[in-house]
Amino acid sequence: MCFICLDSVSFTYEGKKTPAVNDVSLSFAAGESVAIVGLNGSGKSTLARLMMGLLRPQKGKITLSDRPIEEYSLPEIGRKLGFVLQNPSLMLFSTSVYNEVAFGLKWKGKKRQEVEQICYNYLSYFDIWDLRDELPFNLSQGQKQMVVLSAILALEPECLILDEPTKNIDGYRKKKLKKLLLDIRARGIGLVIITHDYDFVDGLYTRKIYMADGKVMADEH
Amino acid sequence: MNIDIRTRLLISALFSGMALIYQKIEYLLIILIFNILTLVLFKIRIKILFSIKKLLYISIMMIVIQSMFVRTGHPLLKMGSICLLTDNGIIYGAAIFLRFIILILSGMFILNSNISQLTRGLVKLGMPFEIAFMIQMGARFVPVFFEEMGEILNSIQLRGVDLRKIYKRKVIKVYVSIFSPVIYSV
Repeated sequence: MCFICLDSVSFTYEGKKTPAVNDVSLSFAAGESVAIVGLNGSGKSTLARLMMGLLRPQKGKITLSDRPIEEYSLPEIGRKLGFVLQNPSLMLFSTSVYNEVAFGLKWKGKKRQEVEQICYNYLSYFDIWDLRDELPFNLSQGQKQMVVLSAILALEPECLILDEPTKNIDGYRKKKLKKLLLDIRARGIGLVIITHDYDFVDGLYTRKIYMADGKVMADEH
Repeated sequence: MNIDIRTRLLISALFSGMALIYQKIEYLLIILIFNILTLVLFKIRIKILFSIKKLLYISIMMIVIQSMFVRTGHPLLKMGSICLLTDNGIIYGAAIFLRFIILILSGMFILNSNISQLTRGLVKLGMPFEIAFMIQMGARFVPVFFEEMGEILNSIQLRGVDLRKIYKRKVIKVYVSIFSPVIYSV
């Protein structure tokens, strides 16, 4: 069954002449691990934003669990798909690292003790538990990336869409993240990783999509 | 059309001033027509007019509020002793609505110009550079602020929080909690 389906999807940003995503048709099965690779400006991030419902396609149709994405509200999409943006600063809004991770869990109705345990698990896994009381904006880009990843992973969505997850992080944490993603994959959670980092995704995906000029140039299973 | 910023400022001040001075609905209508014609003549895009549907709700609210507080005129709709609609209320409400539109459209003369041009124009009109520069800096951060706010609201919703369904008190709490980080990041 198709979990996320894109049917002849095109999207052009306002004021631009060439489409960022041009006639893309793809289908992602539930629990599938996919790497989307391509040069800068090839439309990878736009594709992710379209899949998350943050952008509406001008042509074509996107469905999530067989329902058009337009019928979903953002919170409904958020409960199914976890999305980590390329720029983590745009995803931080809480007054402390702990609150950032706890935010979604509290709204999900988790009990206080459970929230504390989950926050501790993720923050200590990425070695940032000591920073729990810091203002997220004061952290380095790499640390911010870790906080956002912890906040999204803690919500345990059905599929994770990670846009350049290793962009700002060091080799040690990169290894840890890879180990965690392998574990997530083993639990049947879908992964869509958008990256330039071929070493990082090696062994993480079962399917590789290569994009150029807004089009899918290769789709290797 | 490339028009000197001082001309833009002058036209904007003229239309806004007239909208505030004149009270009668027929005068305001004439000012609005001239305002739109000038914008068309200057080839300034007036997208705001296409979202007039949203403004219509505001206008209906204004008419009702005016009818409730302006005690003159014949009551057209009553609920007990409270007048929900009077003929004068409709006229006053419509006048405020027209004034509102004129002020927004007057602002379009300036909003469609380059911010650096605006600073130069203000300095040439005699404003001290420091103050003009402050206005420039402030104006430059407005779109960034709204962009950041939009991204953060999306992030909050993508973590499963439906801002439309939660209690108003909680919505305010969410907005208040994100306001300082947004300012900080901008």
